[in-house]
Amino acid sequence: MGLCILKDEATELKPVFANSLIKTRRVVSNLPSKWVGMAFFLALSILIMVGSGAAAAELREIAVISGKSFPADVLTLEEVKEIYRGEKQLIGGQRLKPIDQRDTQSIRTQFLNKVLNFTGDEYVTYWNNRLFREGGIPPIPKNNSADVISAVQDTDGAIGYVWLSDTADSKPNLKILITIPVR
Amino acid sequence: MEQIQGRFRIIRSKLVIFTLLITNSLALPSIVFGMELQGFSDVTYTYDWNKQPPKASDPYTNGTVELGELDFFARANLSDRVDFLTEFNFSADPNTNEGSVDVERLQIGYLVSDALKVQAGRFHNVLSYWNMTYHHGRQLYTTVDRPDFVKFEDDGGLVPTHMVGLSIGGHLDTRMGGFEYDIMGGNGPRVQNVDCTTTCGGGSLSPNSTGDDSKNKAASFMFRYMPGGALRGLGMGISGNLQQLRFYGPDGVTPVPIVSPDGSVTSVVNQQIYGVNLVYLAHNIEFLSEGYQFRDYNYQGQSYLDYVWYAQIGLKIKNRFIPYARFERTTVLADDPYFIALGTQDMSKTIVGLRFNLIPSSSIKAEVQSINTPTNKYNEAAIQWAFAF
Repeated sequence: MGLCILKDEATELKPVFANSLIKTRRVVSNLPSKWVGMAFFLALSILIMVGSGAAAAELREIAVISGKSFPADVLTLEEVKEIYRGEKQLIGGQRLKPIDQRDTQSIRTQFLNKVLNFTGDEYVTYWNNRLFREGGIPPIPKNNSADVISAVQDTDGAIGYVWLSDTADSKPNLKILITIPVR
Repeated sequence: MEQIQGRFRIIRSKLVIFTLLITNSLALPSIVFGMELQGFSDVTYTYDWNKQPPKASDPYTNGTVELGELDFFARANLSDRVDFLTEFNFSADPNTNEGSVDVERLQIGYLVSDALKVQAGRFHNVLSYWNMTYHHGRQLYTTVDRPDFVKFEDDGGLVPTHMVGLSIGGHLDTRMGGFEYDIMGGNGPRVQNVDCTTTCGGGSLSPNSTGDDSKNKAASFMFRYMPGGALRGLGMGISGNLQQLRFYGPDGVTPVPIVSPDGSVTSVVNQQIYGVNLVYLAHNIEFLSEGYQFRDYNYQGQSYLDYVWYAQIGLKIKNRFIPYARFERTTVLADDPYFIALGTQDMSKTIVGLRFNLIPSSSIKAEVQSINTPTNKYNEAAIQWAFAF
């Protein structure tokens, strides 16, 4: 969206720029035109840099990860949903152990809202009902992404979710099963 | 004297178990001996008016406060594929005020695949969507109580809610949506405490947990389809239950022949129940509906058709308030020996209420009911504070 806004602004700015130059020449005739042009380009550059930064901050990627021994190399988005809803319990004959994050972590809100379409309270209620009905293993909460990475490396069948940027140091020992862009 | 002492010992031992469980659930982490222990309970105040007999002889003139079931639910994963689940509750008989402990569910299961899980033990019967979804947890009900015909056997229910035996079930995901199935086989229930001193009635279902009085085993099934995409939240299912029931008197062993107004006499009924359910739980809408047809065959092979159904709708407002309404109806034939034994009459009930979610695990509900039977037309109000722990 950030890029789109910039594109729109850029296309709108072009005629304004042309008109402003003309007007500037007419109204403020004693100002050197090259300074006006430079000032405008400077302002535009700052705008682009700020806009790009904002866009980068808005768009992040959630990585669904597992240890190297996990029986699958890739998961679909639908499979991730089924696993965190407890509907898919086995993969390659191995029991899945989904790992959650504490509700103090912003990634949890993003994951629940954007991936599973739940609010925090709805997810708690969903699992309370599901456990009461069928038993099973609910997602085990961990304090932060570092704990999630550690848990998936140590536990067979475990999968977790972290920011993709948090996996940089641990990539050799992890499988990134899917990345999900979220804003 | 010995009887009294014995009785006192039983009560004392129950109290000790009860205290231990409470202590465990409140003072210790919820994981006890590798098993997670959770539970439900509630406190409910009800007040009725215009009920017959008139208020003067009604013990609940000023309403009554009822301590709901104290329901404990425990589960453990014995391995990646073997799990165990049990639900037991402490409740009091409203007539005698005597407490009892019941094992409501006890299931050991083996997960073969997502599409097949095999279980043995005592289950909640899959016939009813409500029964399989909400079990004993009133906190999970939007309303104060179950629809009348889905109430538990010892609470006047008309459909079987428990079964002891074997169960297979699973979940299949396809591009068209999700499919669920459950099939159970085991002991069918009996009808006990049938009193034919004047007219027959007063009976209640008993799930025959420790032994079957019928050589015919009961079977029940449920198939459900849940479309995905734009229709996510919608669920529709068909279910059925086949069983043979025998009628017994208060002593639990003496068969009681039921004499119908049409002149037929029988102490055994072969029963088929078929049902449909339609549910929508999305976009802050809660819609639940179930309908059942009873086909009861007496000893002579005469058949009787009866119907029960309900529809309930609620609207979630900011996930905190849920105004709701439910209509339920029971239509039974006066000649059907099964409903004669249970003392069931035609009935319609309209409920309007409001649920307030205090926190995700506790809610307060207030509702008003209007109940119509051929002999009684009255209203009831109820306030309930329900919680899970």
